[in-house]
Amino acid sequence: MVEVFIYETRQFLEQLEQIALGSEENGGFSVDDVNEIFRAMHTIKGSAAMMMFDEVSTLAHAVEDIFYYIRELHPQKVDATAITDIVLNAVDFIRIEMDKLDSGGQPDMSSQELREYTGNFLREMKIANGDDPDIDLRKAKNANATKKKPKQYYIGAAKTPEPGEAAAGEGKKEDGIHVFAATIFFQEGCEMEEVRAFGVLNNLKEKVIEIHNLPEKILEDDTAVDTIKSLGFRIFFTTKMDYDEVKKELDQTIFMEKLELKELSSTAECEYWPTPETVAINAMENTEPIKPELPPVSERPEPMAPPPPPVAGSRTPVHHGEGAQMISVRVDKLDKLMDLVGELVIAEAMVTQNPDLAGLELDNFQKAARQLHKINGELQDSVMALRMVPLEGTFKKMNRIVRDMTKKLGKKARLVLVGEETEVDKNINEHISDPLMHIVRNSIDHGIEMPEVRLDAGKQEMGTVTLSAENAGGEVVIKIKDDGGGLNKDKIMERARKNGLLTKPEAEYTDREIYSFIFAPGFSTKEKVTEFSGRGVGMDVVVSNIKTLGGNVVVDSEPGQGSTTTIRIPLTLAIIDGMSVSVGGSSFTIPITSISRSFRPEEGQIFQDPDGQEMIMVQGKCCPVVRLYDMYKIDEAITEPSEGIVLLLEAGEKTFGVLADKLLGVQEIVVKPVPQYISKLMNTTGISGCTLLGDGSISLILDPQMLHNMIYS
Amino acid sequence: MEDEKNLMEEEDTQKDKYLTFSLGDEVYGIDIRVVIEIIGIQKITNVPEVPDYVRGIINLRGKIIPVVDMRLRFRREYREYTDRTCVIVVEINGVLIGLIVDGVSEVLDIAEKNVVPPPDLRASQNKYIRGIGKLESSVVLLLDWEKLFSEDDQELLGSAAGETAEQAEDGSGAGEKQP
Repeated sequence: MVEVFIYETRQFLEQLEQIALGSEENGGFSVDDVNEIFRAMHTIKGSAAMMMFDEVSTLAHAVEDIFYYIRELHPQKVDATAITDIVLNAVDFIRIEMDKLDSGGQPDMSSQELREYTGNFLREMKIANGDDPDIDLRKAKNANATKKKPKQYYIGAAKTPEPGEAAAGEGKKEDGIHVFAATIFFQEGCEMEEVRAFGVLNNLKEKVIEIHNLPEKILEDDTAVDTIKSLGFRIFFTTKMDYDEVKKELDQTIFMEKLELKELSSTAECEYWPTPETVAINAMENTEPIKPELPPVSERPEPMAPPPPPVAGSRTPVHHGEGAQMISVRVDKLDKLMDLVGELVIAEAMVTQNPDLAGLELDNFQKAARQLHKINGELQDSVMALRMVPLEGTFKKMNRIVRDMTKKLGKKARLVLVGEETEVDKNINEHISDPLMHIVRNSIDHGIEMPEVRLDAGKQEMGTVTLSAENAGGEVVIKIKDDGGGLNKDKIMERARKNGLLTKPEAEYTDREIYSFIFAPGFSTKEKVTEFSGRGVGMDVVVSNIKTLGGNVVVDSEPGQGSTTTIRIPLTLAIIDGMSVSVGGSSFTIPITSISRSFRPEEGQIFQDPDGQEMIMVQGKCCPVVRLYDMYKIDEAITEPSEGIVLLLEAGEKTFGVLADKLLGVQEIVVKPVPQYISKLMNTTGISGCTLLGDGSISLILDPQMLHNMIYS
Repeated sequence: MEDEKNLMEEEDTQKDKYLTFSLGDEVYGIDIRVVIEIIGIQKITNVPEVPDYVRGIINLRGKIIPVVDMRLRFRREYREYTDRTCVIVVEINGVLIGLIVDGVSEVLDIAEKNVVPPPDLRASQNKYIRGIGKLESSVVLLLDWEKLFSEDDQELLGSAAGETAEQAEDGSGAGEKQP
């Protein structure tokens, strides 16, 4: 129940944020925007009240009031930016509370300040538009309704309290069943009477046999509040509880001013006791509005990608308008499926590459095995595709950060998204969000200059941060590019010296190495700590998060032109094609996508430079070569290159060779993490994981990028 | 209710029970609670850049788990693995680890009153011993597995650089240690 509440609320929050940001960009709220925000806030209010999260529901109520006012009276003077702020503040508040709830806490923060601010804002807006600040909107609307045809924005259900037409037969009172009529009056000014009334119903639901209420549509009908205020909230019900029990139960109602409770002899005495048919009809009408209503697709070319909701609410995204074709699946089920497919791949290899089969002529077996392999491959692709979600949602979140920061810092910048439809594994999508946020923040705080400075430098006043994503050979490449001032090498170097990060003579550092210092923990060139950055916390999070995904980060910068942060992450983490090689008694596996060629070098083809670094000339290019047995201290390996084999590996734009004994073959491998106990001990080994080979033995997976870094540093 | 009772009973039946194993001449005991299973020695895949007592990783029915040679862990001499060499698979704080020992003996009941604390010597060895169990004719060194593996991490994380240097020196000796 709570899980669903969190999930739904988060979706609404996401939607609210996008609408608010979008309308600010367009310079105002369209009718649709107003309706959507109103609806979303209304639903959050209702469900929060039901869950007894008063701080959340009252805040939602306050914001809803603003939009109610706009919707009903169409005021001329609307400060869209201020309203956007209010909506965003409320969204933030509720989001924090949801996070608390999600992690097992209680939403306990007071929203009073926000609420008061919102209330005052509404008053001022009313005054500015020449309306009575204390005007009761709901009455005003009803008054309007008599003059002109009312615009039915929301649920047009008119108040139709039909007097009871109790069937004669049903009127009889059964043994032990009591019939009650109760009227509840709420305290004046307690706000949201309709929601409280709903709460009463909800509490009673479990304990009564049948219950009816007047007004019958509480949450859906705008006029219900007035009815409850003036006539009280009337309920009629049959129950096994006696008078005292019922009284006790109802006395618990919060904000109750007065309770009138009468025991009746039969349901026929009830003022309102609808027949089953009417109940059914009402029920049908009632089912609609509580559901989240998502914006029709046609209004927004890009319906917001639902958030990748963390933990409790984790599901695959729901796309709008295709309700019947979509189901939500818990991620752990998908994980389980993925694991099973991984096991299947290993099992397949164990069967088809079974040592018992070696040397046998098995035409039919091979045919069947190929068929199995094909199906397995397709199965794997499908399971993988299930987990793929577009980066769109994560990217769009950055809009908010750019907006907030530029506002606070007095800078001007816009965010341009490129390739946000690129799909990545759900896991990646979740883990990429924090790093992206830190980098975008950094770009704006450190990169983009103040407008005056930009104009002086002959640039456009408005800075641009470009967030792009693309697939490149089994990897997804995400770039964050800004056209700001670029990184200050000297400053970074100076700070690195101060922090004692230098490990070799300063002159030997390449630009990239210098830039990579910004990812060191506690590193900041800023003298002043701002709200957004300068504490030196953050960029190291970027690196560690991306490393867990098996990716890497590089920064390039051009003084005066801006800087580019490039993140490369393997598209999926689980199953890859790998080439296994043996070195002595050990075997290593290298992702096939990074092997450009393999060959047996001729004698003397490998030569050394004065430092003892071995190199080989391939197609006119000179590449460094490492001997794996040397690097990993393996004995009994082939030491003569002309008897072994050299694999040329590509890491980024660099190529290098590794010397192994012989090739064992290509196999689909399931990447398993190196046990934590061991991975804690290794830091620079170039090993990114391990896998099981067909014969059940373990092979270590080499990461060309990591190897490359080891060689070049 | 029923479950709780069962759990309690289970706790009870495992209380004071120790799996004993030999390392050279000494007999060690480990809480039966943390022991998952005992397997024979099998093909170990070496992993680079770890202290020599971490022998590598093994494939336990599709799960990859690290194995630690307890002889080397306690700074004893390396001994060739034989048919009697066993791997005790333990689960400590949710992590599976294999312990290579010379041989497994039996499961013993050692009541708390028969356990004496180790003498408070300066020698750092004793910090991995929770107590010494008295038997009629012999003694059993009871492992403090919690300390052994958490301490492990601390020690290793703290002096990662030192360890690797040490290992590099040991490099020449690695050959003999190959099982």
